[in-house]
Parts: sequence; structure tokens; C-alpha cells
Amino acid sequence: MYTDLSNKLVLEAKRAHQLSLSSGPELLPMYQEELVRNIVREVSQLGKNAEFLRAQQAQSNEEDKVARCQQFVTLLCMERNKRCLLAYQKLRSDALDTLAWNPNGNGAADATQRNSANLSHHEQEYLKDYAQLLTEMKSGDYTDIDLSGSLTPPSDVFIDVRVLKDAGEIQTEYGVFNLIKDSQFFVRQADVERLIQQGYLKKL
Amino acid sequence: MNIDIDDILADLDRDTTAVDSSLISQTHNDTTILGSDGAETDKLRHITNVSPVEDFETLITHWRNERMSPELLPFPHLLMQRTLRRVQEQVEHIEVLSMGYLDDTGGSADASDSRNATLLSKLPLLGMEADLERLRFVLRSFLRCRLAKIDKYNLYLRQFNEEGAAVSLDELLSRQELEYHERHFAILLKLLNNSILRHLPPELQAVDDNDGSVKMVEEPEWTRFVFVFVSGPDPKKEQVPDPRLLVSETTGQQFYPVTIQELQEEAELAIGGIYVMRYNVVRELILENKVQLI
Amino acid sequence: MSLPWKLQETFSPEEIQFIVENEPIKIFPRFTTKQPVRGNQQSNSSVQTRWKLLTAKDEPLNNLVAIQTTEVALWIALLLKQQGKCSIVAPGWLRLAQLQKYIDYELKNTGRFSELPWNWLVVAQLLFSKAADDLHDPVHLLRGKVQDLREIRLSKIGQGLKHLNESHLQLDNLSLLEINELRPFVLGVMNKLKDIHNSISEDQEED
Repeated sequence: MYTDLSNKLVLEAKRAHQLSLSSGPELLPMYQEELVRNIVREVSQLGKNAEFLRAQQAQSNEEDKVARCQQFVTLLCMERNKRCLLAYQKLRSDALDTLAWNPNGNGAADATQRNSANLSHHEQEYLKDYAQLLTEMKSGDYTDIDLSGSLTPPSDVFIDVRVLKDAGEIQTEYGVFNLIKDSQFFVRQADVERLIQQGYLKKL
Repeated sequence: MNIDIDDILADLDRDTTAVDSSLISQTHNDTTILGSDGAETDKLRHITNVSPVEDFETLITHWRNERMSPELLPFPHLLMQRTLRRVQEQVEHIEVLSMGYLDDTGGSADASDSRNATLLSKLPLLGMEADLERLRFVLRSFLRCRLAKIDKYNLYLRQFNEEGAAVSLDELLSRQELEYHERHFAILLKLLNNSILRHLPPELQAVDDNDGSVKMVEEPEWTRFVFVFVSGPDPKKEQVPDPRLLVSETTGQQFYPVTIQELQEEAELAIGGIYVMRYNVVRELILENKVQLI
Repeated sequence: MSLPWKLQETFSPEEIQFIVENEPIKIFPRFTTKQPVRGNQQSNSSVQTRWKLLTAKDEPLNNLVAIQTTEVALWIALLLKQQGKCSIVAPGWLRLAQLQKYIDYELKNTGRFSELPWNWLVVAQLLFSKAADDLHDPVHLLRGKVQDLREIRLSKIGQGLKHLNESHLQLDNLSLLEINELRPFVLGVMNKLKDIHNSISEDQEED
């Protein structure tokens, strides 16, 4: 039946969306190139049908209600297919936007790398363009704000830490700290985030 | 010499807030430190007479309204201009201060006395860093929320100027937002064209088609329910009583009468009250800052 | 999306805390920053960095006198407290006796909420975890009372849900955190009721 393929595409999009809501937008599923191509083909087939029906009606002088209805349904199917295709692509481009904003790692460059196999050629191009736009947005007047920084409010900008393993000297804006086992320091959380993750320091 | 009245007022304002005692000590010590503080005063001069804290409170209101409103609200151009400039100056200020500490406290962090003294002298700097982080966060969250709405309503905003709106698009958006809107729309359109639209029959190639069976241009959900707090007029800014405020005969409370159009119902928004209302009912009052979204 | 889904049309609990942290609270500083008006310039000026803030008033911080109460933003109070540089004056309502009065009121008045401050829950939670030794009563007892109060109010909200409608609702004295927790449910239901109402009245017009 017409538009069955579109339904499949929309279901696929919905599943991908649900997945990204639960596990984060790290990976995009494979672009359904085959399915998209088949739907496009269906639309042009429907277009020909509609054209044929129109021509047929123009020839016959009588008002043929069945033919008119048939033509109308054909147009609706075409429209629905278009809507499904656009919705699918829009959902994916939204996910690409999220990837580009992701503050972890290198944002877009990273995302392109990991996802390139699953993106269509046009999507890769889109991601590159959008990442470029963001880079320009982030500089200029907004340099001091770090637009792609964390959207969680800052709490405990400074913390007390205890040294668990000797880690040598670290240099921060607040001077040099010599991290000797069992000593305690009051430091900026952002400066030592990595050392905490690596198990050198413990937040008190 | 700048004799702009705003600048003079700004000087007065500053005397009672930011640099109070250093100015006082100057008058007692007439020659020595005038030079260095004079530069500081010049730097502050182009900030108009709104204190940073007042601006921050206004910014928080804008941020909260923006986060909770279905539509994109007008960009607070002047407020943002002042705030961004203050951020930049504060970044520089902190940089200079912390460089001083690096020289100061290199070796002696052990003796508890000097450690205490170090901590005390560092406290203001810690506070200023945290303060700056907080302001940055609000600005970031505010701007990103707006960008998300600009994306959501990109087609709607493109038609904005045609529809005889009260505000023009370049007032509604900042310069950067206008550019973002233009460029993001262009690359999105390129993607949609390349992967879909150009493969379709010509009559189906429009992206902003509202004539078909389904509207393709997404509009804000004007009647969506929102939580509001009714603050009433700001007594600091408005001396004249608000003519729309009525007084309840039963409770003696002041309230704004509003109409819920779709139901042809009247409702009262009492000052100090918290309500769940349709957005379109309170929209005007929000834009006039008589009501805040919470 | 430049704003993650989970932050759209709602606030995170951390953001609610952030908003509350900007509110003023009284402290007893343990150190002095106020500079003598005359004399002694040389020894002071080289050591003291002055507070210069953008989101909170800085003049109280540049005029601290040890053991004299002053008012600062909550986040600054917590920062100073963390460093052992002040004690926080717990608000009057955060006492066992006072909380009991609120509980009694909640129980007696089923149709209203007691007039707790709009930030009571967050302030209580923050002070419990970061300034327990400054509270008027033992923290575990206070915690219990606050929990009771919270549950009573929650169950009242549950009772009130039958009043949800397609027109509007008045909910005075609910705190910001409580509103934020209710938001998805209340708005979801009312928006649905509105849609149903709309489609019914459209049908009637067509008839």
C-alpha cells in the first residue's frame, strides 16, 4: 500500500529518537538511504498517476466523482510521503546539532569521526557547516562566556581535596601545588577534575 | 571632559556602591594614589547608572521567562551589552589580581598562620571567580535557550516581518542571533533540498508550505499553560499607580483582571499570587514585567 | 539542539538551587575587612584585595566586622562557611517549634498552604548539609520535621489534583522546588483537558 514505506521510516526515526533520549545522542543510527530512495520513487510514481488521472478527467466531459476522489487521495499520499521524509531528516539534523554542541571532547570534529559511517554524504556536509557556524558564534562577543560550556549551574567552584597518591607539582592560577600523599589543598574544582578522575585526589 | 548627565549620575551611584572607601581614602590622602584609581574610574564611566546587581536580577528574570515561555521573547539589547562588557572587564580584573598571588605565595604554604593569612587574602578572589562563573552560566543558559527557540521557530521567524508584528525581527533578535538564524536556516535548507526536496515533483518542493492538509510552519503554542507569579508594578521604577489594577471588594487585595478568550471567562490575578494560566492570557503582563514566569 | 531536551520547558533541580542561592541570608563573619577611615594605609592596602562582584552586593563584604551580623547572598555565605570564616544565622522558621506550627496549619487547613517562604525547601536542604552546626536545633530532628511538612504538603497537592481544569488554577504559597516537581504533571493534564474541551466545543459548533 502507498505510504507504507513512509510509516516504516517514521517508526525508525521514532526509535532512534527514543534511544537518544535514554542514552544520550552519542551515536546516530545508520541513514536509511535505500528506504528514502524508494519513498522518493513512490512519490514520482504517484505523481505520474495523478497526472494521468488529471488528463483522463480533462478528456471526458462528464463529472467523474470516483476519478476525482482517486486523484485527491493520490495527492494526499504524495504529501504524506513528503512530510515523513522531511520529519525523518529534521529529526536527524536536530540530533546532529546536539552532537555539535556536546561539550565533551572535541564536539563536532569528534562526532563526525565517530558517526561518519552512519551519516549520509549530505549530513556530513551539514554537520561540518553547522560546526563552523558554532565556532564563529562562540568567538567574538561571546568569547568570555564559553557558549558550549556546561549547562549545569556552577556549585562548589572551589573544593577541598586530599592527595591519595603522589602526583608531583601542578601549576594553577592560584600558584603551584606540590601534591604529596595525605596532604590537603583547597583548589578550583575545574583545575583538578582530571586528577580526581584518575584517582590522585579525593574530594572531601 | 565628559559631561554627559548619565555619566555624572553613574559617578554618584558608584560612590554609594562599588568603590566607596577607596574614594573616601583618596580624599584623605590627596596626592599619592589618584593616578591609578583615576584609570579605574574612567573605565567604569561608560557603564550607565544601573548597578551590576540590579542588572543581574533583571537578567535572571529574563532567563526564567525565556526558559518557560512558548515564544521567543524580545532580546534585552542594552542589558546584554552592559553585562557582556562587565564580564570582560571582570575577567581582566581577576587575571591581574591572580597574577599578583602567583608571585606572592609561591613557597610558604605550610605554617598555619601564614596559611590563614593567605586564605583570607585570597577569599575575595575566590568569591569573584565563583561570582563570575555564576554570571557566565546564566548568560550561557539564556543564550542557548534562545538559540534552541530560534531553531524551533525558524520558518515562523522568517515570516515574522511580513505579518505586521509589533516588534521587528532585528529588535526581537540580537545581531548574532539574526546571523545564526540566517545561516542555520540556509544550511538546513541545503540539507533538505539535497537529500529530499529536489528529488520530488516541483509542486512539492516548498519547505514552508502552509496550503496543504498540514501546516508546515510551526508557531508557538500560544495557549499552553504556564506557572506565573504576579509581582505587580516595581515600586522602584513606577511611581504612578497602574490604572489596570483593581481592588477586590471582598478581600481588599489588588488584582489584574484578565480574560480567557477561548472560554469567554474572566479571571483575577491577585498581586503576590501564583497561578497556572494560559500563556496568551498573561502575555502582555509578562512583557510589561508585571507578571513573571516561574 | 542547543538546549538539551531535559531542560526544555522546565528547570533542573540544580537550577532551582542556583536561583535560591542568590537570595540574601544573615551571617556572623569571623574576620574583619572594614578598613579604618584614616591612617594605617600602608599595612592594609598591600594585603587586602577588595571584593568586586557582579551578581551580588559587594559592599557588605568590604565592610565586614568580626561578630557583627551582616547580610550576604546565600552562595557567598556557604563559601565563607566552607572556609570556616563565618557562621550562618539560620532563618527563624527553621526551628522545631516553628516547623511544628506550620505542620499544624497544614493539617488544619486542607484548602490552603501555610505561608512558608518560596525557597524554604532548598534553604533547609542546603543548611542541613553545609551548616548543620549553625542550626537552632539538632539537625536530625529538623530534617524529620521538614520531611513531615513536605509529605503533608505533597499529599495535599495529591488531594487537590481533582481540581485540575481547562481554565486556570491558583496555587499560592507553593515553593519553587515544589512547583518544579509538579510542573510536568499539572501542565500535562491541564493542556490535555484544554485540548479535549476545544475539540468538544468545535464539535458543538459544527452541530
